[in-house]
Amino acid sequence: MTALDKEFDFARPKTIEQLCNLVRECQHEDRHFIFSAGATDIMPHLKSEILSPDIVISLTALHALNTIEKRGNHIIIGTLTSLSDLSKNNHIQQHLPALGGAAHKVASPQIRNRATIGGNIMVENRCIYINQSRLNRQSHSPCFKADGNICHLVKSIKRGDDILCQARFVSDTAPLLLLQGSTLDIIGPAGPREIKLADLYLNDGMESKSLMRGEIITHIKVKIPENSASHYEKLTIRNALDFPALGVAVLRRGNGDISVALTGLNTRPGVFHATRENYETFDDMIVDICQKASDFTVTYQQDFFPRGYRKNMIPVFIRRGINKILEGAKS
Amino acid sequence: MDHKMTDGTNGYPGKGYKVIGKPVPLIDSRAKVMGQALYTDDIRLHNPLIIKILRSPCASANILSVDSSAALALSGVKGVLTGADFKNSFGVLSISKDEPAIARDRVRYMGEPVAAVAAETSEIAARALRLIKVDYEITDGVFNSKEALKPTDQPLHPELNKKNNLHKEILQEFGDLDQGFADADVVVKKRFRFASINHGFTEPHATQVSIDNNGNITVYSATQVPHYLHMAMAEVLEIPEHNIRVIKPHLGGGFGGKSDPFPHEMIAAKFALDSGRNVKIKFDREEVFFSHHGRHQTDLTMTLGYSREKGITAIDLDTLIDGGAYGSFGIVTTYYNGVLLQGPYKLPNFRFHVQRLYTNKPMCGAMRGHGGVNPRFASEVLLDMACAELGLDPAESRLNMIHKENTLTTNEFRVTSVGLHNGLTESIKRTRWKEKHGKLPFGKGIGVACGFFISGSALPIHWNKLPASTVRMTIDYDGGVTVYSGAADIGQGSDTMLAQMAAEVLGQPLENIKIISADTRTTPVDLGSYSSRVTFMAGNASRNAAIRMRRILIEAACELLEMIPPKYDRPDAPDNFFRQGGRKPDFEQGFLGPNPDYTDGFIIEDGLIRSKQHNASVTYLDAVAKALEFGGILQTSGTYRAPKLGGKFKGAGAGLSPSYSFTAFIVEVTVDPETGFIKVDKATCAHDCGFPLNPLTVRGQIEGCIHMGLGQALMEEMVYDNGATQNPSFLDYKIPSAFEQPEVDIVPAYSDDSEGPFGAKEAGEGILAPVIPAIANAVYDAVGIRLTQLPMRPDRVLAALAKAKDKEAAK
Repeated sequence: MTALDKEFDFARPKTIEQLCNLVRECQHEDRHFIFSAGATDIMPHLKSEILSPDIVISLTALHALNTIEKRGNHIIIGTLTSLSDLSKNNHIQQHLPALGGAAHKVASPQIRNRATIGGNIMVENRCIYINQSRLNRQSHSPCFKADGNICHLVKSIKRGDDILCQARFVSDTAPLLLLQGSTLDIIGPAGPREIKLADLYLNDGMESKSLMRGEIITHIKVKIPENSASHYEKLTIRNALDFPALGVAVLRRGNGDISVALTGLNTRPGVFHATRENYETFDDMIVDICQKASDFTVTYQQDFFPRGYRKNMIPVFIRRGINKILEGAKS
Repeated sequence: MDHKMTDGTNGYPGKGYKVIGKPVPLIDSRAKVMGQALYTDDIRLHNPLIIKILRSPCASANILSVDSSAALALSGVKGVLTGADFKNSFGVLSISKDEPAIARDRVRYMGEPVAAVAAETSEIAARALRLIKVDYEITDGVFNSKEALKPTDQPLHPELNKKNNLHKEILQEFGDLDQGFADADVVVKKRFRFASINHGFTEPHATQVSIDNNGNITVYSATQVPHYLHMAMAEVLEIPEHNIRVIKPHLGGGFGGKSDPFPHEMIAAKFALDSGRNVKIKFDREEVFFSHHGRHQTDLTMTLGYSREKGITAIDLDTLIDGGAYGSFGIVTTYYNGVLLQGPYKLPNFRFHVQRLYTNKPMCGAMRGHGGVNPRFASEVLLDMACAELGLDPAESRLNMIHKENTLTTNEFRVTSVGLHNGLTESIKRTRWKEKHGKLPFGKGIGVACGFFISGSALPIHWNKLPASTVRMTIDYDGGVTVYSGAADIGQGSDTMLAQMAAEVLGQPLENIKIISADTRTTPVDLGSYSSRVTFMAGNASRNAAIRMRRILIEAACELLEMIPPKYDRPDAPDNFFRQGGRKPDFEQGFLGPNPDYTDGFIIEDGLIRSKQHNASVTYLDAVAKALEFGGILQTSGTYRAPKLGGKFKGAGAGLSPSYSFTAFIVEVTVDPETGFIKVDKATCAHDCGFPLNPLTVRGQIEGCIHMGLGQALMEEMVYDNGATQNPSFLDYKIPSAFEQPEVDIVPAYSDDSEGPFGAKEAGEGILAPVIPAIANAVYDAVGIRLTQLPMRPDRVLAALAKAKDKEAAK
């Protein structure tokens, strides 16, 4: 897995127009293309031949997407912004510090210098059975995601409405962006469109994003939060390198409402809201949202931590997030 | 993170040495930091063929056929090897040569080589691998020790003529076990379970082979033991040893994982011989995990008897170790699981029963602390339990049981120097143990554990009468000193140590000493870097060669000064058996006493050789020139040979060492009772390595052992699914990051070993084992649970806490 054994073409369009033309060309010629930005997630996929494209289209020459701007009451994040730049950016530190903190928890400094925010919200879902070398995958019969007909996690032999690929969603930055109600600018051969980030994520570990072939996300628009605070807590055995076994983002609004978003557990992120006025006490609300979040389905064990443990940690991490926010409010 | 820097010489009396005992950066550190040091993969041979290995996706299967015709037909492919091309199997131990270079007829683990390709480029080789068709008939595999004990008609190794998959069984008993338990005030017993772990060295395996017109090959390989590789290669390839030259370039970590001869080394040499071309192979990380050779997965039950007055009265140990598909060092591992419990405390009654099993998994072998680490965890945790039950202070109690200097253990290990008592006493003071143990708030804990390890195996793996280590030393006409040694510097700094020995004795600055090492053509035999033997054995050899050289120089100086050379008196007979083992080591006859000075009435420094008595001097260079007049070259050799040691019973040789190291750890932890996370806040280490020749490298070894121990304690684990390695990457196999490393405090625990070079003993392995139980004992102190399974994952901590709570509620 240190070498790229399979050859592919490589293109690096300089404008969105060139990009769209190239995509149309590929679609016309039926060439399998993939996009890459920082390539930190794509490279292992290419080396292990989980992805075997005819052409890799690098987005790195689209320099216009490497910006963070404040426009009115929105922060507009270009999707090519590296995670380290994001963490260090003044607008982010001032208005979305928890997001900067979450980005800082991704992998290692070297990876954060290359990995982009667009790549992180688009990160491929992961599973211990698929994210292996070609040889290691051969040691099992091919799973759904390897075009086979078994999921080794649910031990099911049929993919259908009930049983989809169980590969896990592992973005560290998506939960907070979801809680901020972010929207995405998308461009592709069929033209531009805008969707909510929440609508990006699908239930199937194999086809986990709703982008159409050839589309890219150009910007993430985040409304500057007023009178609210948030926090992201990540479960990993080491304080570096790892994908989240569980990630919990908590947002507390000025009116006392609480929202929670979960990552690392299921094929897609989970989002839960509690409205303060529906509860007699603050504590009742916390108990209830912890309960709701704990009912979120945790896929079968595919991580260092067993499934039951990860599930048990959901309320613990929610409470910790809330405490951190309350501490922050005091100081 | 606050790393308190002590220079390590703290608390040890200065002995007036100029080079040793001082913190010295490794002589190759600059080259490494600058990226100039050549590791095996960095060497540029002319136009090498690139080798890739086809590995089995099945853990257990018969190979019905291998069709390589399509691969051979591919342009750029120069050859394909299969199991049929290698007649002889090999193994590091002459008593278990059970591994083929390429699987013949059957595969025994997933990832085992089934064919190999040599091609003009890496891309062609990769393409060719896909064209090789292997027809497998999948057979029932054996995936754990218990299954492997069951009777079967299809054992992994039918050549052993056994009706199960037992590789080696050892039962030894010393003293009177029943009496021992009867003498105890408390008897504690527990089952323990340990995951297999990998060495996690930085540099993956790599080998390059160059070949000349006469068919002589030079093998550059990332190996800890050039000598054993040399021997194994000659046997597998059926060519004389003098046609093979093995060179170990700079090496990026071994920890035992590079101490076997490997299939890829045989494959590379065979391709070179067959094709007449230079060849090259390097592993990716996944292949390293498939090759493994790591610490054995272990299931053990231990019973320990403890008496207030006598200390430990008895230990009974029953262990299954999962060896994987082949033998490797396994027989030694099997012994070490038992015999290394003979220290650091007196253990009068003792039985161990260890069984090593073959399973369809990557093989296990030697790893830092070889065989001793897992039983040490059990004994140190049980000792802590016994003390808790009797209401005794576990640190004080340990102090009372430590071996005295110059004693024999129950199984007749000769213990010479012991610095542990002072070290542990000082650690208790420095950590303010008595104010903390049992008195910290819930969630905070402090724990203690001790360890013991060989300082070099006294017996060679392949029986022979050669010295364990020989060093050749020359001085050139310009006064430059060259040390030739077969010892392999694997990053631990043995080249620097060899140079320090020569520099100290010859009164030269370290820069004047050049080292040529680990090259079977130019350097004399050293058995290699395993069993923590190099400082003790190669160090003594270098020191002895230097002492002989010094004598030549002094005699030359005397001639120039027209003085009578000093009379080298024979030392007194050894004052007791234990200091010399009943036989003098091969120090220069009549020159060295027990750990002597090389006092000759002269001082060599600043380029002068000066007689203290006559206040007359000549220059070092004049003495060198004079000495060269005799023979034209100035050359000496020095050797080390372990004294005759050990009892007369079967298996008495296992664990024999000319000396032993001792270690104490006091570890402080924070346990989060909500998440089960264990955070190691501080580790205080007192390691008795005799006299620390280079306190800087001793510190490095201590920090490294703590980090490695932390990994086994908290997170590292090879995960298999029906024999398939599930986590063969540094993403999924969790080695702690720098963030997890605790504050380290090093407490002096030095002794003056009677036989070690300048009183030194090992510092590379013994440190590791006690870190892990010290963490477990600190966890008990913090939250009152006994963890008996490694790694101590947070979910296991929570489960144990819940169980303890239920127990409490039931009361």
